[in-house]
Amino acid sequence: MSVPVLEVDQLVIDYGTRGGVFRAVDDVSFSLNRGERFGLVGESGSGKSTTILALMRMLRGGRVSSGGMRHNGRDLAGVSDAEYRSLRFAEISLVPQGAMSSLNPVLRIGEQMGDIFDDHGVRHNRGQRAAIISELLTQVGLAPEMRHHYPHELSGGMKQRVCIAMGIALRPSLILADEPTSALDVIVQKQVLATLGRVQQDLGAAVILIGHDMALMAHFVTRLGVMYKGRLVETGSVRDIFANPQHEYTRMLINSLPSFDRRKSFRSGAARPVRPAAFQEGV
Amino acid sequence: MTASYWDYVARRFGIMLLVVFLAVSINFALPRLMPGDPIENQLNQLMASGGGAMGDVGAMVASYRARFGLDQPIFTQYLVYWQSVFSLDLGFSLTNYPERVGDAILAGLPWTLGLLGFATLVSFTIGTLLGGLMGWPRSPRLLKSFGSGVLLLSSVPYFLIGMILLYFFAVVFRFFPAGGGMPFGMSAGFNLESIRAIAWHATLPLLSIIIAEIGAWAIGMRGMMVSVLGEDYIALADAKGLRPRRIFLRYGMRNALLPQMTKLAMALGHIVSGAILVEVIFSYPGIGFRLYQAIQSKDYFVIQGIVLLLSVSIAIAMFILDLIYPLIDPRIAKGK
Amino acid sequence: MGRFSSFAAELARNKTLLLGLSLLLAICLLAVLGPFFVDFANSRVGSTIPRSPPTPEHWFGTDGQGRDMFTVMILAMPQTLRIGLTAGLISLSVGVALGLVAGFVGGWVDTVIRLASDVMMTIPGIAILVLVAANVREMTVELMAVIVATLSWMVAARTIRAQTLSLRGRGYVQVARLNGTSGLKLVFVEVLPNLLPFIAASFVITVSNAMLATVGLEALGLGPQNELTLGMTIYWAQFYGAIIRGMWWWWGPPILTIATIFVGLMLTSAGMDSFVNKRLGAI
Repeated sequence: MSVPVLEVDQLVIDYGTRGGVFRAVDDVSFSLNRGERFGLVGESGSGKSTTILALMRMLRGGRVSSGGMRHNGRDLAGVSDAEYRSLRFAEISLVPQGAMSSLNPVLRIGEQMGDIFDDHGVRHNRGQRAAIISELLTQVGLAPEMRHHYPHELSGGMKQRVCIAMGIALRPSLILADEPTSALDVIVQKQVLATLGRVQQDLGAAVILIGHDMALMAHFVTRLGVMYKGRLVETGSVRDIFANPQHEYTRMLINSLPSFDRRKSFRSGAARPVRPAAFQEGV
Repeated sequence: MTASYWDYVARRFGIMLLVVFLAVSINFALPRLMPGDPIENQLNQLMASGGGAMGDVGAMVASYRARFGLDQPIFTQYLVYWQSVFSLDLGFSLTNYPERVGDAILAGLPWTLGLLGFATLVSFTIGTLLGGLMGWPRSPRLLKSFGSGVLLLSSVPYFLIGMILLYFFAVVFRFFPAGGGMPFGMSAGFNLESIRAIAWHATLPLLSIIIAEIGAWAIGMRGMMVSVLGEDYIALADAKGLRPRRIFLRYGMRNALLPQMTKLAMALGHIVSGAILVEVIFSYPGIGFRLYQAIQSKDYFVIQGIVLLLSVSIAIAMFILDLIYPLIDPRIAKGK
Repeated sequence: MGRFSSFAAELARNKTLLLGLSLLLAICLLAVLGPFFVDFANSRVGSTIPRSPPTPEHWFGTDGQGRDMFTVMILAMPQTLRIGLTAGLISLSVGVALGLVAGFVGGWVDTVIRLASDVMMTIPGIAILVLVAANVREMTVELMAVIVATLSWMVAARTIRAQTLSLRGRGYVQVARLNGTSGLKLVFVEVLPNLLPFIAASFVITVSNAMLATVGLEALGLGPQNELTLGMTIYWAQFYGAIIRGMWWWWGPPILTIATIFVGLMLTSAGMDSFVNKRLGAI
């Protein structure tokens, strides 16, 4: 077995507040293999987003107090800030939560995508650049002409697809998706998630999907981790966790699902997303 | 450009017309609302003293009658007034008769536009950049504390700064001339000597406006920058691994600049009324100094003419700003 | 009591606000108490030897007409503050009233008020001030305040309108409304108290604008000719060429006092801004 794409080892993250130290992530360990889909569920404030931010080294005001992260066997703690910048999106990319507001309103889509290449030392002539951006847009199910548009001319689902296209532009080995569909309506949610799944498979990248919707999660990931109050209280395959939840909080999450969802999730085991009509891609 | 855009233009155009209408009407009504008749008093005084208007007093009285036509019904007077505004006939100066008010304004306008235009653009550029950097977390501490000092200065009215500059740099140390637009007896022309003389005389007035204005631009920009930096697209730009320089300029500054551009256009609209007192302090031969002199000598028609110019120029500038704003911000053209 | 102690704690943290308020307090104390300690006769024309630089008898020297500058300053300060505060209070009351009505009643009333404030913002204040001031027989401190006030109510009106609109949508106001609370009671019991921080902030800005307009008008020679104010002192100094003649003691003290007042107002306003916004989060 090859080196895992990502190993998180006894990670502890603290925030200094006026009232003292607040421990946001407490002794969290997990690892991901190439191309694997891992889900992190938990209520807001459970530490799942903080973990993601730590992986991007974008903690504002927080710090990694102990533990470590290894990417393809390389200890990320030893990477300088400047190097970390070039690592972002090239190796670890992020599909953000607030797609509605994550695009720069005064730049055309194509320009925002092009910036990624420019600042990671990838040079193209004008024609190549246009072709590559059009190809990326096509991959996420958007028309190539979208590159001439401004963000306000796009729907929420389209913006999220643009974010996915940016996330795969440099062919990273790990994609962090932070509740990428939370702002979208249900049908678009599933379409966008399907798109994310497809491009991830094409790329062979590993994905960490963050969310609190157990049902949606179960359709997408193969392995699941449940976070509660900063701790990773349970990890395992989706099937195992649904069949035999160990932690009280996990049981609560599963029991709160409508029974139809619960049964379906359990049966499909989420090895691959089922594709009823609503699951078909579209804009 | 959609129908909503034209709706918006029409609304703004309406506001401009309303402002011009009000400005002219107030100009017409005020002297008539005041007890007594300031013009008549003024004319009587001038004639009694024999000073100021030694020329053809008869023509002046005629012009006064034509303008105010006090024997006619008020509505006719009003129409006549509008007519004279449209034909840009603003009457004669009372103290410098037979100088026409229009000519007096035209003589001062280039000085004011040059002084204020230059000062506004320079302080906008420096202040915006300074404000942007003050809102940027990676900026050096030194720059931030320097900036705070500049912000404090901006709360002091610019003409007070002008007085202090004048005292130190023209009276105590005679580095710069104490006033005027250029040396006595020299006439403006497109040659090096004259341009140098003009720049020489303009330095202190320019400095006092720029020092006072930089802070105002910087405050606005810093606030905008801080709020823009909290936006999701900045976080994503950071996540994308973009260089800090690019994030600052293309993602931060470009967005924070939008409201700043509005204010610039507004400031350019206020250019004529912007620095009346700086012109007074430095006896600078622009509109403001002319207004001051007119107030001193109660030269009523000149006051009225300049005030009208101030109001109308701002109304028009604001309208032009409203027209171009959708071009600066791609979001406006669609909604609103 | 709780309110007071929380305000004191805020002051201890908020150095900007503390410094600004201290400056303003010092000026106000000087303006209120000063006149008890000077001899009014010294402020009359010809009461001393003119054009004398500062001496032990005349701390601030004397002006071109033989007035003792120290006495002039002490007497001018309360007059200037009176104009600023009166104008500030008038325009604040007008602004708050219009803002409340516009935000609460809405409809065409709102449209008219907004249009009026748009128009007033476009008309250059100084132009109207010049016209009115040039047309009145004799300018007094009170008239000055009224004129300035009519031109500076817009900021307060806009702020209060926006806040009223957002308050109106809040749950507890809606509930009170559904309970059949009458309009007036709603405004005074539910809405107004919550607007207090915004009213306080607008007051500082309004006073500052009013003072700026006042000093500017006075320096142009349009102020109350027969009264002693800081602006008129500057005007006379300018009129008699005090700068060119090197009589710094004539224009220096009024300039420094005015500058101190404006710096104090600005610091207070900046300090209040962070105070108000924090409270906004807490509501």
